[in-house]
Amino acid sequence: MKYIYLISKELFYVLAGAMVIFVIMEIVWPNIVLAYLNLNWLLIFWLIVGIFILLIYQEKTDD
Amino acid sequence: MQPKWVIKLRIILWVILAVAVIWLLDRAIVPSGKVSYVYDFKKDSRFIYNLTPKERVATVDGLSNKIIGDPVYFSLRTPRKFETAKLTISYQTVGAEHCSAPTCLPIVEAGILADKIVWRYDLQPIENKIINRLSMVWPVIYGQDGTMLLQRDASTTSTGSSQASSAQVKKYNTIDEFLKNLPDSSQIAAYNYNLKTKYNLPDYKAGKQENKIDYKLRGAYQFYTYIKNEDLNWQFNFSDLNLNKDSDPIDVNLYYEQGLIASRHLDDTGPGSPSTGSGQGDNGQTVNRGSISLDEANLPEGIYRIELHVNDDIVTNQIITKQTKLAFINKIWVTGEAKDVNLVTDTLSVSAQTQSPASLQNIKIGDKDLDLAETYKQYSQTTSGKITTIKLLKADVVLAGDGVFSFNQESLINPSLKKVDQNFDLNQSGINYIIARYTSPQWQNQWQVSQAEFDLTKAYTEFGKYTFLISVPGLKADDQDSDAILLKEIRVDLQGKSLWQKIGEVISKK
Repeated sequence: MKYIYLISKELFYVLAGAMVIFVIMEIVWPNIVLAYLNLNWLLIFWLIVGIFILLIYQEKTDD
Repeated sequence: MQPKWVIKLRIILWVILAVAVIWLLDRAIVPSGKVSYVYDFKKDSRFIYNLTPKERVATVDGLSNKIIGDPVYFSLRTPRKFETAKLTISYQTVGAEHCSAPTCLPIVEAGILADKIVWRYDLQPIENKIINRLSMVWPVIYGQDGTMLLQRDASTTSTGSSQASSAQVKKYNTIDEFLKNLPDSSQIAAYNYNLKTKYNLPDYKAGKQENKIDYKLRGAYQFYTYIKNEDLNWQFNFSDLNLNKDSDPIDVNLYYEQGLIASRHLDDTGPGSPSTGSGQGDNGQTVNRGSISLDEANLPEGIYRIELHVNDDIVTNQIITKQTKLAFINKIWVTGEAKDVNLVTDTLSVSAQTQSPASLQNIKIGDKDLDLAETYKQYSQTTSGKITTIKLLKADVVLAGDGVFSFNQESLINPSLKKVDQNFDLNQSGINYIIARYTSPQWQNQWQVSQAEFDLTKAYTEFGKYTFLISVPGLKADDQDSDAILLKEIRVDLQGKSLWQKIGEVISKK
């Protein structure tokens, strides 16, 4: 469980970074990201990973 | 302390993100300056958008790729600026079994929006079936840049008046020889070629008195006039309908031999103008916009073109001039309360349209009737090909055609060469030479492939999007014919400055 928690945490951070970078890129240069990637899907994936981490963290502390 | 494998995983994930960012930047910057986008109608393209309007596009096997009405439009989004766009279209003409090849959808053209104020498209040929057919019968000389000269072969069978003219056909060996020693312009037709010919009226005498045209003309127009031993003298009075939200500047441009030689400008200072602040749109109140005088002295004898570059909010209330020649090119929109408006034209096919229900009427074109039965619908009527009168019972009708329009026959002049378009009739026209900048489409597995190149530096762009048009004159969505243009693929090859050229430019400027 610890491995999954650590992997998810790293993934969450990099997805958060991707969101921030992509949004900034879109503001500076419209359509540079949206032409290839729908940021809504990235946001949903990021939220799922975040919720998953919270659930694992709760299970870990319950143990 | 994090385990080592976590650090490795972190590095890998961030490297993947960095690679993704670099890839996106590369796609947007296009360092080489060359990129191609393809739309095959099977999958939405990120750069080439669907054909519109939907009423002119039919769906075949789930693909919206059948053009059934003229014209259709599509947009191209580019990630950055480019200089040229080479448009390649793969297509078939379908459902045209009921008519013979040169007469059925003879012209296919593609264009790019160059001027949004007057909705002008820079058109380039895709296919001209008349030239394709003639080039198999008449001898052809090919020159540089896709230029071709077709010369009537005296030995070919011809009918009527053209038989007589074929006997006098002089043969040229090169296009240069033709350009240096042009035959009479009545024998030449052109297509996508700007041929400079001398147009003089030997019997012309300068007018002495002022002429007033009190018909109200809406929107943009351009007209020919002629001067000889006189000053050019035009005065235009304007009003602004203030119907659209945009600013309504007025520009009058004077051209001689294709070059701009003088211009006048009138800023929009009323509602909706930049000076009244953002957010305050036009309010629908008609205001007087004053007048523009175009006076030029010591101009050489010849034909001049005057262009009024405005949007449809601007109405010309009055034109005052000392010139006697005034021929509106391709379009005229007489508006206001005028009744019984009489015009003359040399157009081969007159089309008419109105936005006003009060202007629905029966238009007399020569001895034919054109029933304007619905608003916002274009109706067409062919003419005899000679000078034809047009009688409007009520104004507010847009008249358009391939020739010129005037309010009386004396002021009608048309220096343009005959154009090889859908109205071209070889047997009646007495044409012995056709000069064109045109390349026939190539056949590739039952599909015709044709290319057109556009200068993007002169094209209109909004939010990084260019608007293209595919025009098939004569193709109507609401007729009973099943003729159509079926597209297989639209490909756009863009070319511009490379990243290194751009960096070099920036450095050299400093």
